[in-house]
Amino acid sequence: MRPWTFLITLSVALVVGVAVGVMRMPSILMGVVMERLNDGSANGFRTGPRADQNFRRVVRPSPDLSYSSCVYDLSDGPLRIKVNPWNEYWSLALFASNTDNFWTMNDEDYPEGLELVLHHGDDDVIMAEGIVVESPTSRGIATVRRLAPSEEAFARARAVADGDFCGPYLQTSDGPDE
Amino acid sequence: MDRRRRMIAGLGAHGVIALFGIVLGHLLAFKLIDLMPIPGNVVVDGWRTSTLAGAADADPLTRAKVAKVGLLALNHQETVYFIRGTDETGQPLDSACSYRIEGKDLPARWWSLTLYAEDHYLAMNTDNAHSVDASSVARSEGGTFEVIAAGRQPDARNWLSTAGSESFDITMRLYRPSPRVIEEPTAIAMPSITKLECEAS
Repeated sequence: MRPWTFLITLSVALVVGVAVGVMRMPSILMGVVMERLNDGSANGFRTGPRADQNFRRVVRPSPDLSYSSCVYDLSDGPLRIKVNPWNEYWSLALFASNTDNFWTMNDEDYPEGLELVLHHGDDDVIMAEGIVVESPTSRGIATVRRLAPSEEAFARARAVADGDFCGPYLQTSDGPDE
Repeated sequence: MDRRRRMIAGLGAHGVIALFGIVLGHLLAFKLIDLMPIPGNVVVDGWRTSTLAGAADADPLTRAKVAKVGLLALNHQETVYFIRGTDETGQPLDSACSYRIEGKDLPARWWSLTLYAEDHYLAMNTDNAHSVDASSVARSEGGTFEVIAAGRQPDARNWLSTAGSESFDITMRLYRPSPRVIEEPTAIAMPSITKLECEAS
């Protein structure tokens, strides 16, 4: 084979590599962050410390917010997510593994807090009542933000966050598990 | 037979080169995205925002850049993020200089101004002056605020510390923005950023 054919192969592979790399980048970075946020585990809320100069888990953290995150994995079935209300702004946002923010609700929508069932492709999810959300991917991240721009507010927000829940939805034939 | 062997060896070499090129391409993609400016399909007085952050219909380049500089960004109905990395003359914000940021309350339920170093994290200092927000910013009687971005605490009521960074940018978060922020962002009175003085190098 002639040497210049190797150059063509390398050039084409580079272009393809860059294009595929750009397209895969969100999923790759989400994978890294999912590992960092919950230390490799899934399906449970973790509330991080107040963001400061040493916070390096996610880019551009806000020191004015309390962040709780649940890295979810729906491959073994749906999850129940419960978020307690907070006396300032709060929101629950769901992110697919490709970074899409596919669902967000806040305290104006649910002043008393909210509870939902999150599933991926489980068409037989039976709910007597409540919110059912389908995730476009089996893995992703649920994040709760609570406005807490002072040390004192952050401590209170963290105490409220301790009561949030993200775990298996134990469905019975009669409906939800409560 | 020799010709066939040479052909197989040549194809194998092409395969190895292709694999090398694809891996190198991936690494190159991460570097190229770093060089790409902050995504912004809307620019207001030097403040850039992308209405596609977190959106399912974002193009691959925007999606990749947002993943690098603003992963887990909320969609723009919930929060609009404006980022500005230049002063009033268009020069990059330099930590060897101090700047005055002036403005009025923004049309949102809550807003904040947060300073990030060149690595997209909070600047490496213990000044506890990474951010000012609507709940705590000191305002004049006329309702305007003045924030000084500088490496040392200034004689001013609002301070963003640039210590521990070389260059920086400011992210303005507008949580639960008013509808006009989304419908007509160019009509918003954005904070100005004016260079004050620079340390002699």
